[in-house]
Amino acid sequence: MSESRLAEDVRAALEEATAGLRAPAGAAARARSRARRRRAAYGLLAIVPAAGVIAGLTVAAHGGATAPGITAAPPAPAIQTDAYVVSHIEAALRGANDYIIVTSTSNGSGQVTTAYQDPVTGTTRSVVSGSGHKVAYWIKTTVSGGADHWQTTYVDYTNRTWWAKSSQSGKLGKATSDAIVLSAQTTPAELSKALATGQVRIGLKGQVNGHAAIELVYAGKLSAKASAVHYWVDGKTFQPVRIDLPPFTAASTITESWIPKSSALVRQTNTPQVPAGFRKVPASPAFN
Amino acid sequence: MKAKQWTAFEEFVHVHGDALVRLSFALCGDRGRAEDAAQEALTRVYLRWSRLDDPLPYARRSVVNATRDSWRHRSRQEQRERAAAGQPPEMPVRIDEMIADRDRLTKALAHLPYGQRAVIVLRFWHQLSERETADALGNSVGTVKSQASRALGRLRHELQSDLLPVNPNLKEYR
Repeated sequence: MSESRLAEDVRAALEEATAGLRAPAGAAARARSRARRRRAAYGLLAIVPAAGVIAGLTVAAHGGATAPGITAAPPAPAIQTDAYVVSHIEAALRGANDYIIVTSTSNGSGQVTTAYQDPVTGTTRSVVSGSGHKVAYWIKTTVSGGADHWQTTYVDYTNRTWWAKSSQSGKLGKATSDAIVLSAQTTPAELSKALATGQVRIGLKGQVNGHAAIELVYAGKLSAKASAVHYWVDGKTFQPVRIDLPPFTAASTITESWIPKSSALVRQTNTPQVPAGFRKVPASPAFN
Repeated sequence: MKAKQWTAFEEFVHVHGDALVRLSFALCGDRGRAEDAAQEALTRVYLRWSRLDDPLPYARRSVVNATRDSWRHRSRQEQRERAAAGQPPEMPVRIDEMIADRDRLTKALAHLPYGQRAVIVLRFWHQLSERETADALGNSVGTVKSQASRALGRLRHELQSDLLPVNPNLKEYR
């Protein structure tokens, strides 16, 4: 194996292993708080021998020269108009092809499904793990002859088996509505179209995982569905970060993150791989 | 820290905070300790903020050091507790045993000594240059080169029976 290939594989493995990790909420404020305490303690240690306890306490209480401006309050967030936010979300969505879109959800009993989707090829690699079980499957979707065609490769790491099959949907009917449904399957192009056509508008501003976030809600005729889905984009990158679906439990919450593409990650997402020694078995009829 | 600097610091945490946690996790394999190490690193960055032209390299170095400190501290504490209880010293913790379900490559990485693992993570995942990696680790460029070479050799050795792709056109793993 060449060094560059090994390096690429290391990169892909680490990206996968750390994909769902986030900095804890309030990390900046906590850093400031700890730094204040540490400065106060260091200030006391430095000043006590020279100037006595009282002087030391005075300096610590007022911040002193060692802690300039630590009492400054964080500034109010800048005001962003809806048009500004929409234009930035659309710009972020236009760049989706440069990323692998990672969504993750838990079934509430320790089983986590993480899906890696390449928006360019339409291939998704899903990894289901937890409760002592792990499977991975790749689904490549193409449309031809008026039908969806799926190529599926399924690897069961617990039983050390795998299978592959091709299948297709029935003839796709003509769409009866242009309505875009917000869900985990909503593509960046669909979301962009929903924003451009006014089907979706800017809703609440809040926080997701401690980061500023903006909610997208249905507008116009679709607003009756507004309570059905909460779709959040990050307040700074404007990329989707979370989708809350009914019945709004942990199992119906989908977290999303976009990982910049590397050649290794693209290959890992698009090329099914079966570990050596795994046994081929008949395809599951229940799949697709 | 002035309001403007605080805004810049918050922005820094927002943009790089996740990556710092991920870096620490790649080094120690424990989510809780990765979050603690990243938090400690951010505290150190905050304390030096006004003197840092480019805070990211300093933040990386702080994460690497804080993660290593966390390992050493935990190891010493456990040894003391076991000695106090009259038990023999525990064998070194194998990270791969704690990470029950992960790719072989990640497990192979976990077998590397801390310094080699840090070099691999910074050079090949964060894609730092040899000079930047040396700065982040407080080592010389020569040490980084030799550690990278040794680490890649060990990884290659552990991955001899690697993945076999379904696509027969891909022969690189054969």
